[in-house]
Amino acid sequence: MRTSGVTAAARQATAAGPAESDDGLVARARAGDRRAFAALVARHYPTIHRLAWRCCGDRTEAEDIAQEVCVRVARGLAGFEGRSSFPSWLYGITLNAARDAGRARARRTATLQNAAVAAEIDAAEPEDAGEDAALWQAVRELPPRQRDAVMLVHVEGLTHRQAAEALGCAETTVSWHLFTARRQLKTMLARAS
Amino acid sequence: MADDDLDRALDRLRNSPVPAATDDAKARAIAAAMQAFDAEAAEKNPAARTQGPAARRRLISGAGQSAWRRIMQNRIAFGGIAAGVIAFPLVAALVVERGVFVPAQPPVFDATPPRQQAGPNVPAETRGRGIVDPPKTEAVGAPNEQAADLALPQDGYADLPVAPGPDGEADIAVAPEPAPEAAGAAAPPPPSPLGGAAPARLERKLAAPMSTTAAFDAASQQAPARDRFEAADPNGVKVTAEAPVSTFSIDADTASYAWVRRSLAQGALPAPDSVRVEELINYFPYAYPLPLSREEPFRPTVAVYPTPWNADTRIVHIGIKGYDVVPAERPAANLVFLVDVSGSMDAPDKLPLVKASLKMLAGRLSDRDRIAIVTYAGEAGVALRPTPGSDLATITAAIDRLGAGGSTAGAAGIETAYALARANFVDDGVNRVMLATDGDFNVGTSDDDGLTRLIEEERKSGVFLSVLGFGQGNYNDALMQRLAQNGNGTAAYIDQLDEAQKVLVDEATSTLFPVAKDVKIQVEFNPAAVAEYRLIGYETRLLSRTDFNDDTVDAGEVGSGATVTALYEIVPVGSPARLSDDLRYGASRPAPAASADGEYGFLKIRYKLPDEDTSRLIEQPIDRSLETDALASLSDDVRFAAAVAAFGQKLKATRNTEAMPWDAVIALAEGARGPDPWGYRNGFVRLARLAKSLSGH
Repeated sequence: MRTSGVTAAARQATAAGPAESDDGLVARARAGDRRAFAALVARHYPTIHRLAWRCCGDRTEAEDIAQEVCVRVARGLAGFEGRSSFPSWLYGITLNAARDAGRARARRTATLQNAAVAAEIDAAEPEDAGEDAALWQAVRELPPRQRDAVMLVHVEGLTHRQAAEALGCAETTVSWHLFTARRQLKTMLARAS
Repeated sequence: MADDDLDRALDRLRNSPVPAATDDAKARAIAAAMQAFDAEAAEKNPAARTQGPAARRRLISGAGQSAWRRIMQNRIAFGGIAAGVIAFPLVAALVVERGVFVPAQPPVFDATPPRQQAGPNVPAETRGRGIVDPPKTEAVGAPNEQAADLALPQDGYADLPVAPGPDGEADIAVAPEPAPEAAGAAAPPPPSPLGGAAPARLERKLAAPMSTTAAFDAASQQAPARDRFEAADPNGVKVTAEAPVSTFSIDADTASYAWVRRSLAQGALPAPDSVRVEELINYFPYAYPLPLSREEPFRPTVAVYPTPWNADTRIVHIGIKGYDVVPAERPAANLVFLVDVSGSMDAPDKLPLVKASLKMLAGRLSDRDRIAIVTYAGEAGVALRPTPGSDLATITAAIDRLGAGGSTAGAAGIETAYALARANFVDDGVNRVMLATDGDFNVGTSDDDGLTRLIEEERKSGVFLSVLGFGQGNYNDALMQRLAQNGNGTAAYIDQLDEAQKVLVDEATSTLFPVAKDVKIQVEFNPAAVAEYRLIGYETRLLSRTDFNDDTVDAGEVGSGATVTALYEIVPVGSPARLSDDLRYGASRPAPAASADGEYGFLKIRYKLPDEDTSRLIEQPIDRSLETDALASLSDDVRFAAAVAAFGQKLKATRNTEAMPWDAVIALAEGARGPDPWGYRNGFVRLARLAKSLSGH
């Protein structure tokens, strides 16, 4: 843990204020403090939801993913040892949850198609419109690791280092995924236009 | 589309509006999270989840802990009821384990001398082209670190299925006959006739179906890849004046090459983390001069020559070849195969390939050898009791009966395998457990340390472990490496039947019979001759300087007839490639002994004979008489190793080899193929061409 025992104990005495650091809240939540945990989740929910929406492009699904992430955070907090920053850890969980949801959706879509109710599927298309629709689609169709790297670095604006933390790989690996992804995006977009 | 356009487009994505979450949804999410939080608190004893970072038991810089967490993470489905049931014994096991073995804080270990800062920022135009010091990242853990607390209890494997065999002799349960349809699906070929010709014939028979790898490769590519590799950044440049001594453990593994080959054959550049340059180099046999006797198991071959990818630096090539045990004095082998037959092995490139490989190896054994097979899936069992190698019919029949199904219970399997190996221990022979798995390996120990300790203890008792990796999709390279390293064995990756032929038939003696163990290399560079140096590869094998003379520190083993090669890229004093400036306030350079003026450095190799506990030392100066100015005058072996080194570094996307185009790598390898009786080097040239097209150059 990054928080030393002394400061953690000092903070324990105060209520969960908005100014308290993630590390402090995490330490207290790990020690079983419900209010600290609630504050932590509420603080980061907008970020989680934003990334979830960017991954899937669907309002309802983004909310479902965000909720799933919050539950996973509750289950996983005990194992979070502060080796990455808390936001990086959240990014990693969110990307995983979005990927799982994407897979589940692919299965549902296949089932629906088999049942020939294509009308249902059209309604579930991503909501973003305009000139960037093709780009969003191209990014979402990248292989998972590449998509994750592009989402974190280009869309969320993380540094390569932060993205590497979130993805649990070396910084050079992130750079490499980005390099491959960019080449593929260019091909995909050239084909689309 | 140009890069600028793409950047602008991606910037638009960053700034595009995201529909805000409704308060309702947020409230629901928080409520669900609180419910899960409370459930966690109720289900788990807090003591069980506050696991401190486990101590590093082996001094390698890229320890596999995060890898193990990643595996355990996949086991999170054990939560809920299972977690409740196992919580109590788990707590007890952890208390015992942590109390006895694990300090509260991991020992601070830093084998890397201070990193020089000038590095990549030095303008190349003014300083010449240097060795590029890669940007360094801290080793980071898995994104989800929640993993380790849901392991099975430490003593989960204590209750092995112990039932007397029908004849009362075996004290370990025999695996039940597989279901008829499972056996049928495997379509066993008729048992091969006895005799040395069997493996070759078997190979031809199976060559046709196996050559259609493309079919199942395509299938496996559709699934998202969950293959796990240890992330290790390439070694940085060291300044000789600050850190003249470089120490590492040898690595005779070859797994990385087969993995890279498979990846390229499927049309994708391998992930940089899956490329270990030293394993690519060591995949190929080199004709280094052989040592004369077993007492001195190898002789170093050293060469210094201009770096193919940088005119201003030099390569120091250090090659060793293990003493080749002649068949007459080959020790008897007591082999226990531990075969993963869990459901995940049910793929054309997994269990069927394991079975074919096993049969190939069986054809190499004689009546002095014993082979046994232990399977593990839902529960562990013995599929073949120790059987003389000459009884090929019995062995083949047992192999044919293996069928995939059930979940993985690796710990019970590994215990059973070690129990069998110990029961049939050959005093003057080779006792080895060979694990064949895809790495989706659930051991009953509570963390990776437990497993490592088990393997280490068995190693000390004389039973070594080797790992054969199979399949793709959930391949766990990191764990394989760790297991083999701790078990005095090698890790090989079997991607096709050809590879099984190489590892288990052509190189069987080197795979099975070690001639030296705990082999460490230490090079002290002479600051008067070498300004900077960089070890190519071996990132996961670095040792600290003091480990070299410490006989308790484990290191790699060298098999009979095996070759191991290490390359350093050095910047000679006065070369424009130098990255660092002299220290203004540094102590003046220690004047080297007059006789050492001509030396680039001094090579020391420590090793133990397989049955000894005290290390021996080989020393040799790296002097200028070993230097060559023209690549062309070098032996094929040395030039080929340089080509492989360039290939590996290019795949690893390091900047050092950017200046060397793929065509130059291919040309260098093509001109250095030599006799190439097995066709490995021709295969490499094809692979380099493939890599060239895939990288878009």
